[in-house]
Amino acid sequence: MADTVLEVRDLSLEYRSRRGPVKALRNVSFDLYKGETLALIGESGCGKSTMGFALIRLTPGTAKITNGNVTFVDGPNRINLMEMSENEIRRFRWTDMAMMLQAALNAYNPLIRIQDHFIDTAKAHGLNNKSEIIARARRLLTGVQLDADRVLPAYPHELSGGMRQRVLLALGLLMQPKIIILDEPTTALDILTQRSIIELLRKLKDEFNFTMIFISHDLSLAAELADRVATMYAGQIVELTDVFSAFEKPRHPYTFGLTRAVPTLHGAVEKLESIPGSPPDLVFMPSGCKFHPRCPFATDKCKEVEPKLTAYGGHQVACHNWQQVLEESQKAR
Amino acid sequence: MSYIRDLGSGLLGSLRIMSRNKVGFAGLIITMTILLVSLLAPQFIDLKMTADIEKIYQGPSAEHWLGTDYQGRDIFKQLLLGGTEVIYVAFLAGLLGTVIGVGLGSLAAVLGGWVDTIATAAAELVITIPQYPLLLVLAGFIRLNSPAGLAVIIAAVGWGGLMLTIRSQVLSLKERDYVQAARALGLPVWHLLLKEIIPNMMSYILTSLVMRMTNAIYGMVGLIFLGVVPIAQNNWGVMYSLANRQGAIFGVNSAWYILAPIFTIALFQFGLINMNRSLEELFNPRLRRGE
Amino acid sequence: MATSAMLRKFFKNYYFRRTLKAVASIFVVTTLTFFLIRLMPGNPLDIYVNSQMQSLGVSREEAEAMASSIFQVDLKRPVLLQYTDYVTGLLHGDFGLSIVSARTPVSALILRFLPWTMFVVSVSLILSFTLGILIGTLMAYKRNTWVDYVFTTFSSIMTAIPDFMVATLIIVYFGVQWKVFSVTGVRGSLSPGMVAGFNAKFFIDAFYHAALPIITLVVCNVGNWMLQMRGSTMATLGEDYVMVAKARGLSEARITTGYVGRNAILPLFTTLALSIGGMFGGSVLIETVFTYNGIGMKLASSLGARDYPVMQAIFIIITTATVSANLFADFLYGWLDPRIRTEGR
Repeated sequence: MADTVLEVRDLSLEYRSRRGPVKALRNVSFDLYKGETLALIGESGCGKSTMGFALIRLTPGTAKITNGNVTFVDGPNRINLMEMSENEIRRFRWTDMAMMLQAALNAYNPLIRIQDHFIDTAKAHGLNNKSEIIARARRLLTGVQLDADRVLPAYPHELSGGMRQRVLLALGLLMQPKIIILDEPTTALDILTQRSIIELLRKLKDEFNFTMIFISHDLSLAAELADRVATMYAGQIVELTDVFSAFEKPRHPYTFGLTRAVPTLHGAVEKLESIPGSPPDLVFMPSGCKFHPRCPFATDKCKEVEPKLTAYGGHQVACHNWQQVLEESQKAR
Repeated sequence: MSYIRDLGSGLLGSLRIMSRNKVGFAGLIITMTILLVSLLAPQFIDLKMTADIEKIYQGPSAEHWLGTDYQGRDIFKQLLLGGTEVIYVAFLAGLLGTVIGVGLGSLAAVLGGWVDTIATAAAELVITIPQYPLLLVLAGFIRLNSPAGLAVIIAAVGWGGLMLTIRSQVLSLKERDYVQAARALGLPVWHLLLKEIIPNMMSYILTSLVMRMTNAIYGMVGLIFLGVVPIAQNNWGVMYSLANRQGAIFGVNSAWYILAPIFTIALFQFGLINMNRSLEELFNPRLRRGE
Repeated sequence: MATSAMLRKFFKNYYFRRTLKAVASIFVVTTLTFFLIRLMPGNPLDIYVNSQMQSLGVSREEAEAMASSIFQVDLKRPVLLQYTDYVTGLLHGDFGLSIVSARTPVSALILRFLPWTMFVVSVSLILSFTLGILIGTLMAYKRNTWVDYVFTTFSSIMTAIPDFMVATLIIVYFGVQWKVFSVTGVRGSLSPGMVAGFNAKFFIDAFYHAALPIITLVVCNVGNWMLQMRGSTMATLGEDYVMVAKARGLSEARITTGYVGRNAILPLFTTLALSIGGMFGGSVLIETVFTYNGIGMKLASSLGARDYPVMQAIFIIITTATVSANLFADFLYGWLDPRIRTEGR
């Protein structure tokens, strides 16, 4: 297998709320391989965005990481993010791992120019030569097919949504991070712009050779860009496998349901099914397998024992009845 | 019968919601207590308070809980009796100012056209004229001891800001989907205003009512202190003003005379401001859910 | 052709129209107050005559004779003509003569009293705004901790007590009972015999006398700024760009000042401008409590004597201060917020 760049072990995170702790991440473990593209998919509220934050130890609002380790592997060095000081983790962000969150449209300080965003970022990581920073920003902006002369002196509100997303990509590449996390990179963009961003991501990945995690509810995007797919449900990874298996041979009923919820080119529209019910309450979760109230395959065992993510060959799944799911998914194709 | 039961349980429910915010509930209790005492005191306490030269500026004692004033009269009794007028003016001025502000603001926004132009210009004028000096001039027109007149002029100088805010809020609410939907159903404008728009702004309106009330107390007491409005009956503002004039500041025992009305006014306003927090919980369901 | 196009563009210019509106509103307020003041019951002559009869024990005729030698203004002249005279004077920069202080130009009186009030109001405004910004930011960052609760309680108590009563409390406790300062010594705006000049002695004395009004105004206003800044900062902290800035690895200091602080302060500038007029107006009461010889006390005394021109001038000055502060805030806002700047004003 390829080299690992990131090891996530038992990562758990809770939000404080009046009703009690919201368990947004529960013992998440996975490895990220060098150069790959991993897609994190799931419905909104399943913890996938929270995961993006937790990987760079950013905790929004009342959130707190309660358990687990994230280890960054850089050649012979293994660095545990949880043991870093505040200043170390601050410098680690964006230089080694850049997390670009959902709201590319609102990602910029409205009062300062785009070029100041580049300068601020570079200065935070020890680069102080202004003309060098600007030259680098210029190269990157050209790389994301933007007119640097126009964009650099502009204020954020003067740019369109697609331009802002491109600028964010350029900004993300400023420190040449080894890992890039993209949270919903194409949401809130029109279909043509989405298309061009996807093409751009492909191109940039070839050029800069980074490892990428992208978080999305858009399965067609995952099918197009990802090498491996991790399905998240109720704060856990319930299935992790290569992109082909995820779509063609899903072993978890939730992944199965999700893939059937996507219209495909060769599949008729009637086949489109959405999963009944809604994501579980993360404060008061169901017993046993968290998916059992919505699962057509559920048995008594599912109500009592929560299945663990187990590897069968390269295919990891957390389901007692994965064989039946696999059978059913093969019949459906 | 069932109507009464509904009303009862509704009140209880409201109380339960309001008691969720502890500071706010304390404010509610303070305000209600002062209100009740001020309303009832005149029924039980003798209004006539004669001067007693023997007892000038005495400190607190069992007989006189807060001591006596420059004429030997009981200060605590004066406090109990002196709230009615202050509260009356505060409430009347607050209500008037709020009604004018909300009324004109929503009228201007709903009707538009020349009504809007005139009302907006008037409101802008009112906020441009220096408020307190204008109040001083207007107070010159009040000849007799007239709490209602006082309330009217206080309301008259202080509705501009509220009107402009209400106007812009109604303008933006008008564009909301549910109001547009109601409009498409052919509901009349007034129905929309009363059933859809005003209830949505209730917590804001209440906040500004409380603010108008505290402003009214400020205005009233200040006017009495400057000797601009004729003093007749005893009230907290008159006590403060007389205490100042009689030099009550300069003695340790006499200081009670000036401190008593100050702390009473402060307590009442503190109660009002905090009560508002509870009322906000009641009228703003978004706050109710918390976090 | 070109000139008229340029002119048209100039008249359509936002700044020009905004300034024009400001001047117009000052004029309207002046007109309105002019008639309002003169409609007030009681006139300077009667009040003067009565006070002379009382204090000197002279007969009505004698008092009226004294008055006619002093009073320069013909009060019997129709009000409308008085108004046109006044406006004509104003346009020439002439505020007229005081009725009561015979032969004293109003402008001289204003020059004597205004600087003290301006000094107190501006220092208090700057101090309370700055303190409020700092504490409010702290409260937002430490929300729901004891720091937050202490300051919230402080500001809700301070908003409950009228500022002139706070002034009284300061005199009662710090002056009389604890003797921190001498109650008679701090009266007035300068110690007796002190001559204005550019020397340390004068400045120290001026500060000494202004200290109590300034402390009162700061203590009473800082709570309001604190709460506003707290709310504004909390709203800004929830913005995506703050989270992105953290992800970009910016230092906490840079985020707090350049990203959160800058955006959070913006909406407060409008309120700041509005509060200037209120502070001038409210100075009537505070200055009276501290017997501080500013424009507020002058307003109270000229109101009592119905000294129309003096009252009128004070109205004009406070209105001008309010209007120009608003104007300035508008322009400043446009300059600080690029989103407004490009809206084609």
